[in-house]
This record gives sequence, C-alpha cells and structure tokens, in this order.
Amino acid sequence: MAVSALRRAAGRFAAAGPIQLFAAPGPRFRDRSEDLTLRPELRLTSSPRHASILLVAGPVPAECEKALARVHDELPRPRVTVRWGGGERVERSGPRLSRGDSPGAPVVVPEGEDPVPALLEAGRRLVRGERPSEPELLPDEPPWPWRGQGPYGQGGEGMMGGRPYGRPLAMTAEDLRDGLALDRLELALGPFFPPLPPGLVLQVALQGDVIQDVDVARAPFVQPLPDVFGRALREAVPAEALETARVRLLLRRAARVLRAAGAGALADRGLGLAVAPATDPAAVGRFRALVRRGGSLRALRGSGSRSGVDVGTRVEGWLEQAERALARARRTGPDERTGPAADLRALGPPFDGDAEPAEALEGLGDTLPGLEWGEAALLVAGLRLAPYGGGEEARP
Amino acid sequence: MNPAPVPPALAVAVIVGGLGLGAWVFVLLDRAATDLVSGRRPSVRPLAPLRRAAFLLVQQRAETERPDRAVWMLAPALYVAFAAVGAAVVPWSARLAPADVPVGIVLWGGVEALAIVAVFLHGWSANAPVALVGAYRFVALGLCFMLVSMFVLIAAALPAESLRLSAIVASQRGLWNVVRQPLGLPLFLFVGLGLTFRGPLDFADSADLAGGVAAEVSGPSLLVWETGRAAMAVAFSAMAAAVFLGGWLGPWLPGPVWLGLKTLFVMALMAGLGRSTARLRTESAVTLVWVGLLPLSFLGLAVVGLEVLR
Repeated sequence: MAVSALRRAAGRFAAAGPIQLFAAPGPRFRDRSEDLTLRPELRLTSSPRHASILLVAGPVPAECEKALARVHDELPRPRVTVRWGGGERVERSGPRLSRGDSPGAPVVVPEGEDPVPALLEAGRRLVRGERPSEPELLPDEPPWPWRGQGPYGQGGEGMMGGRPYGRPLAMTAEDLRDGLALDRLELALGPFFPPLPPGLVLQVALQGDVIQDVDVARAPFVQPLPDVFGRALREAVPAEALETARVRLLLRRAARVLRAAGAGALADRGLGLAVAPATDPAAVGRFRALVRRGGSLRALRGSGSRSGVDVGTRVEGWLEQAERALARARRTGPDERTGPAADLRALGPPFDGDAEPAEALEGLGDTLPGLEWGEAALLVAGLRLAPYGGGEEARP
Repeated sequence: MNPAPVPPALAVAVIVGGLGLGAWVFVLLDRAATDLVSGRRPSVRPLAPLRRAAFLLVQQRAETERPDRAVWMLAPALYVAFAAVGAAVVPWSARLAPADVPVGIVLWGGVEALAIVAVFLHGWSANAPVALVGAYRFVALGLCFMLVSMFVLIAAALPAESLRLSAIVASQRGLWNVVRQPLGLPLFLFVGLGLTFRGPLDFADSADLAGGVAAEVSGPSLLVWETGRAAMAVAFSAMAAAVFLGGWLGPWLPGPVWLGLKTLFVMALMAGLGRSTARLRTESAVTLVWVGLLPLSFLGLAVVGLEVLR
C-alpha cells in the first residue's frame, strides 16, 4: 500500500519533467523526428533503455517490424508506443505493434499533425501511473536457440568456436592495422541505431574498436530532399529558395556529425539554425566560430582520413558553404531565378558530387574497415544518401 | 600542524552532504552549459534533477541476456563510492578535514585508477556489444590519463614536502599552485574530463555507441550511474580546487565557503568544456597524451624539483 502510494507520488513529481523518448524514424521522417530534439519538453534518448515512449515515425516497412518489436521490448516498463504518420494502414486498421484488446494500445498521430501534444499526454499519464505499460511483443527467450554439440551443434572444439546462440563465439584473429591478435566481435547495428541513418543495417566485425569487416545488410530508408532540389534539375527555380534549402541541408548535415561526435549541444545549435524560418547570417557565422574555436573541428580532423576524406575538413567545408549560400540568398532579389540546370556542379551542394566517400552504399564495405568505430560513425552520420526530391530522381 | 581528527559521524555527513549537494548543483550547471552552447536561453529549473531521479526510480530495471547481475548492479555503486573516497581526503578548512590521511594524494591516485575498473566492469557486465566496446575503449585510454595525473599531483606535493592534502593547501599560502605551476591545472582538467568521460574524452558513454557503457542500463541502476558521474565530477573539482586553487585559503570568508566557491568554479569549467567540444579520435587522444601532455607534465615536475632543490 505504502509502496504504491510512494510510487504514485514519485510518478506525479516526475511527470512534470521532460518526457524521455526513443525515435524509430521510417522513410521520409528522419528530419522531422530529428527536429523533436529542439523541443524542451522532450528528450530524445540515444538508447531505447533510457526512454519511456517509443515513437515510430513514418511508414516503417513491414520487413522492419521484427526489429521494431525488439526495440519496443528493450524499453523498460512503463512504456508506450506512439505511431506518427504510419500511413493509411496504421491509421485505419490500428497499429500492428499491439495486441488489439490491450488497454495500453499505442497512440496514433496522423502524419500532418504535430505529435508533441500526444507524446506529452501519453508520456505524462504513463509516468503518473494512469496508463498501463504495454506488454512485451516478443517471447523472453534468445532469438536463436541454444545449439550444443552434435550435427547442428555449435560445431567448435571444446569451448572454442561455433555459433552457440546463432552468433559466433568471439575468437582471436589477426588485426588489420598492426597484426595484434584480439577477440573478433561480430555485431549487427541498425536499423534503428541512432548514430546511423534510419533503416541502415551494418553487419560489423570489430576488434577492440577497430572495424575489420563491414557488410551493408540493409540500405537506409529513403529520405527525399526538399522538392526544390528536384525541381532545380528540371527548371529554373527561385534562387533564394534554392539557396535557403541548401543552407538548411548543410547545417543539418553538420549537426548530425556533431551529434555523433558527442557534441549534442553544438548539434542542437546547428539544427536550430537549420529549422529557423529566417536564418540569420550572423548566427551561422557565430555557430561556425563556435565549432571551430571550441576545438570541435580539431577533434574531428583526421577522422575517417584513412578513407581519403577527413570528417573535420568536410564539416568545415559545409559550414563555409552554408555561410556563402546564405549570403547569396540575401543578395538575390525575390524574382531572381536559377539558370537552366545545364551544369549541375554550378548548382553547388547537394549536386556537386564532391569527394563524398561511399556515396554509393556498396562502397562502405571498402571504406570503413581499418577505421575506429567512432570515426566510422561520424563518416556514416554525414553521408548523403538521399535522392533529390520525389524519390525517383536520377543522381547526377 | 595537522588538523584534529573529525568524529566519524560528522565526516560521513560532510562527505555525503557535500557530494549530494555538489552533484545536484553540477547537474544544473551541466544543463545551463548545454543551453548556452545550444543557443537557448539558460533555464534554471532547480527541481529538474530531482524529477529525473523520481522518473528513474519509477522506471523498471531492464535486463539484458545473461548479464553478470551482481557486477552490473554493483559497478555504478562502486563508482559512487570511489567519488566519496576521493572527496573524503579534501580538507574543507584548517580544522575540518573528513579524512586527512598522510598519503591523501596517493589515495586519490588510487581512486582514479580504480574508477577506470568500475567503468570497465559496468560496461562488461551488461553482456551486450556496444556497452562492451565502450568499456574496452575507455580502459584502453585510461592508463595514459592516469600517468599525466600522477606527475601533475606529485609536482604539487613537492613544495609542500608532504602527500597530505592539508599540507599541500597550506603550502599555497603565499602563492597558489595555479600560478606557481601554470601547467598543472590545465593538465589536471584534461585528466578530469577523462575520469568523468566528458566532451573530448567521452569514450565510455558516447553518442557513437548510443550511450556506450550505459546503453543497456535503465531505472534505478541508471540513477546510481548518473549520480556517480556527477559526484565524481564534484570530487574531482574539489580536489583540483584544493591542489591548485589554494583550497580553503582566502580572505574574509570562512574556509569551507572558499573551498565551495573554488570547487564551483572548476565544476563550471568542466561542464562548459564537456559541452562545447566534440570527442577526439582514440588515436589522436592517445598521441596527444603520450607525445604532448605526458612530456609536458614531466617537464613541469622537473622544474618544480629544481626549484625545491635550490
């Protein structure tokens, strides 16, 4: 009795704080769910274990439902799922991620609506104890059954080798860099691993934190760029709109890299500028100076240089381009339009095809081995993976 | 002149009270630093850390597949305990020193070394890949920070001719160590960022590993872990204030107030540095320490040694 009264009191007290949420963005929803970071009443967590709400944003394809269910069960109780813009299937027939009659069935928010009120309401009621926690979706057992010795056994000798739980036992192997024999750890990251683009599944073999082998098991979800880029390829568009979209794109990309590099507060500043309706050139300059002088660029420099590209130099380049594009946007008159898109490079990012590493995903398998995981995460976080507008445009 | 021993009950009250209050203030400072760097107006919400604590108490302790349960639960507590041991040797005034042992500096060195073990055990015992990678990475870098710390602290102990913290504070009566040994405090701050894994040296709980060592932890265990991280930052700041900023020394105000103000200053520095920089690459961090900072700290020690001999 006393314990439950205490629990309720603690819950009521806690519910006035920010709501902890883990976002699993689907196609088209990467930017939108990223922007929730800027809402002070929410905290986007880096691990599902730290959250009480699972936000499934966008039409997550059916093939990822199993992975989503696993993420769902990783959230500690009390937990609730909020589905935002799951498409007609979810909105009409109710979300799949539930047992239909469960009292704690997920909350559904239509695509066009702001999910924050629903998130706050669900999260607060949950923490206050007014809403039951969702039950587990998967049985509490290892995803692969134990396979001992025998025809289908782990297959190793004694206690070594084999795949006892469907995963290989860590065995020593030569290291790529210095030949030091260390345990080789194989793990699958994704499709909802926050440092990586949503949907991307990497099968990684690590020794210590050095990548030995990478296999792209699943491509990231398509996240189309703003329409204006697609139109610029076909016709003349208002120059100011194109420049502004460019600034936002570049700032957002820099913010992603900074976030993966642990500079979340700087990333928030960049993201805040990217979504601001009228981005202030002086503010972009201050942001650039803060990144540069704070030592963040120096910290990033050298990252991923083994692949021939240096993350620090690229981030600096993006910020410089953003500042220039913003200056151009200010100079252009309201009626000024871009020329015909004969020379795509003249359109600048994202059309310039600069030294993007592994712009093609297949390249990751060659680019990442030999890098530290920390560098690889930065490299992948800053990748340009989206086609231009519409989702069907050809790449230049 | 050594301070009189403090009754154990008072010592415990001072340590627990000081660390608890300090941890609460540190979380507020850290939030303010985050707001400032991210371009928001800093909002002081004094209840926010307590609400966070209440939230984590209500949340379930999640389980991984076959963790080393005992170690997984104890490692965060161990980290808190090391913070308390470290804080205990810091003297608050000429008379109030919870545990003014004759080898205070050595004890602090032990705390730094063992804290690395606690962090490693925490990541390892979860039996989950990203936590393990964070733990490995942290322990691989720990050794080099600790060497820097030792040289820097020995240099501070030399002029005092004692390893006792109260003697080191008293030796700064004429001139604080931050002026006498200008390399000391910056190098020690670097060690602190490593010890509490923040900013450029966040190799344990880092974003590229979705939370690293703490990625699988939730509920009360996460509360203990977060408390430990804040408490360790406070203990470190108090140690830095005592060794480099003259501890309780200062005019007009009572000693403990001076120590509190100086600790607060170092805490603010730690929060600001932690929030405004990106993580270094492991390779550059190791190179920086072995090629740059370690020789510098040795140089600092040599200069102090010559000065003492003169």
